[in-house]
Amino acid sequence: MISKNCINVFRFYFYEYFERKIGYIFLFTSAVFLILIMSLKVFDMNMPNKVIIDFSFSGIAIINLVLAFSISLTSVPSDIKNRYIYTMLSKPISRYDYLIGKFLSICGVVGINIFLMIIELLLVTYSKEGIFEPNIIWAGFFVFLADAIIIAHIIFFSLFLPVTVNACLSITMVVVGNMTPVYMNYLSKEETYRISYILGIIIKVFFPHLYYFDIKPAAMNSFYLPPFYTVSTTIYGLLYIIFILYLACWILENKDM
Amino acid sequence: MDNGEVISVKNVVKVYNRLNKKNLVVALKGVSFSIEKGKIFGFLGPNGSGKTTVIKIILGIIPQTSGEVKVLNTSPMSRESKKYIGYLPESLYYPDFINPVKLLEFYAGLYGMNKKKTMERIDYVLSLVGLEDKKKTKLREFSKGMLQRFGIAQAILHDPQLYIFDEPASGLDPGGQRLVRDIMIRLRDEGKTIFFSSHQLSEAEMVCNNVAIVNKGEIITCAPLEDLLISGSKIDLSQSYSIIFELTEGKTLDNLTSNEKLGMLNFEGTSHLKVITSGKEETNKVIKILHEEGCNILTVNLEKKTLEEVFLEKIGEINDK
Ligand SMILES: Nc1ncnc2c1ncn2[C@@H]1O[C@H](COP(=O)(O)OP(=O)(O)O)[C@@H](O)[C@H]1O
Ligand SMILES: [Mg+2]
Repeated sequence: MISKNCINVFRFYFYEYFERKIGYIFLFTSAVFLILIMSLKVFDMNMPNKVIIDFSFSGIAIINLVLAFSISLTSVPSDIKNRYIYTMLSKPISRYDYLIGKFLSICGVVGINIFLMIIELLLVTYSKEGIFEPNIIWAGFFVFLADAIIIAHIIFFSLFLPVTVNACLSITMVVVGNMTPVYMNYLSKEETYRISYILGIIIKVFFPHLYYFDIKPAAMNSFYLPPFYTVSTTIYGLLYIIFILYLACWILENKDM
Repeated sequence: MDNGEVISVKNVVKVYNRLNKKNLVVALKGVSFSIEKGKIFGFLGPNGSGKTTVIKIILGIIPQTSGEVKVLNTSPMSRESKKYIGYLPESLYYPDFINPVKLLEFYAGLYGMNKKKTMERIDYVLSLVGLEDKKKTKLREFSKGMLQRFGIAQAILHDPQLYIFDEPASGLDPGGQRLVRDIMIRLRDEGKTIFFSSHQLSEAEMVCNNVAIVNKGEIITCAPLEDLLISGSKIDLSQSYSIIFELTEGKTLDNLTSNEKLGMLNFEGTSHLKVITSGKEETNKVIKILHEEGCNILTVNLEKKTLEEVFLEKIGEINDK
């Protein structure tokens, strides 16, 4: 499924993001992030880990969402606009290699950033209470998976939508995808309105269920995470990504450039 | 390739799909030509005539709407055939935060070249295009001409059989243009096949074996270069001659142009003057008058048409219809 040239594309763009300093900007952000959580600890000795974790995960989510958006929105459209995509596609690689390679490279940058932040968080919480909280790792992994879904979506939309429309739609998707259960509960009470019921179905079917990936409470409170939940959520995430990228490849195959 | 045809394009039509169907662009209206192994084929036409579109179809970047295309005896969409094709794009954009060596290494990887061969070829192609001392410079610091040279380097990196150059001379100074010509001729001498597009005709005139002239998505002529130039220079009554002569002491150009019989003609130059005449009769008449006026005739030549004239003529004919 992932060919040699797909890996080549991934490695090259991953390297290029660092040459572009995009990588470094976010390494810098994660350093600032570390200082911030350290200072939380310093200023208030009574601040429990729970609050630090809560605060940190909000930070991790927002910073990496911005990172994912900023790289992936223009990644493919700029290649099409300046016609570099012709040069790429004249080489013996398939559109699939090109698209998946690009996707993986963006995931790589976001992944490294999340990884660094999670390590920092683990160190800070461990040094405070001496307890290693494994749920933090799961929560970090799930933030990554959710971001990968969003990146896949943005790349998919970017093949046929202008950047601004893509950005609006993707932000909507993030917001709706995260509050689907709340919304669904609300809708189920409004039985009289057929239209909102249908809307609810549409959201349930067509929007990614990003709330599955939000397990911050489990990390904060050391809840038991059933393996079934983690495994099925991971599979859901991966299948979702493969499905979207498959659609994206199909669109790229049939697009006039 | 058994029949010697490296590219064969038959009746290719391309309609670009736009989202609003009212705005369909018919870029190619049934284009046919074929290219033999070991030849340089010039694909000439004004901007927007469909040259890049043909190239994109040959490279399998976009599908044709109808018609048949074979490249190296397979479909252009086949990934295998791309290993034997080198493409110089029209656009000068490359990922530019890295140096040329890193980018070429990436490309070499896509062709499955091993480490040793990669480094050898990178050294070779960069020195071939005169960029051997820019190995450490990031591509964003390259000038247009240097990027074009880099483009040529990446096209020949994997030593392919077939070269497709989209406007190879654009953005280059005369030295660079000469380099491109030399490279094309050298590749042909190695038995490689070259297809290039251009709107600069002088370039084609110097290297092509075969030429196709395309306008508004249609091929107007497709023939060996010599045939085209000679078909324009059949010795007929309307053929042009150029007469080069000098004035005798004390005479000025005004003396000549005041002569009723010469007044219609255009004289160029100052010390050596040149005048173009058309047809044998007029030419003889003019020579006689120039003699009478005491001018020294230096040369009289049959004007060989340039490709540019053939080109403008052909396109003019089409537009007049
Ligand atoms: N991606 C595209 N979508 C729509 N129209 C296009 C596209 N690319 C080229 N065209 C149109 O096709 C015609 C031929 O373009 P092109 O092949 O680029 O010409 P040339 O390379 O000879 O300058 C032009 O009218 C151009 O506007
Ligand atoms: Mg062009």
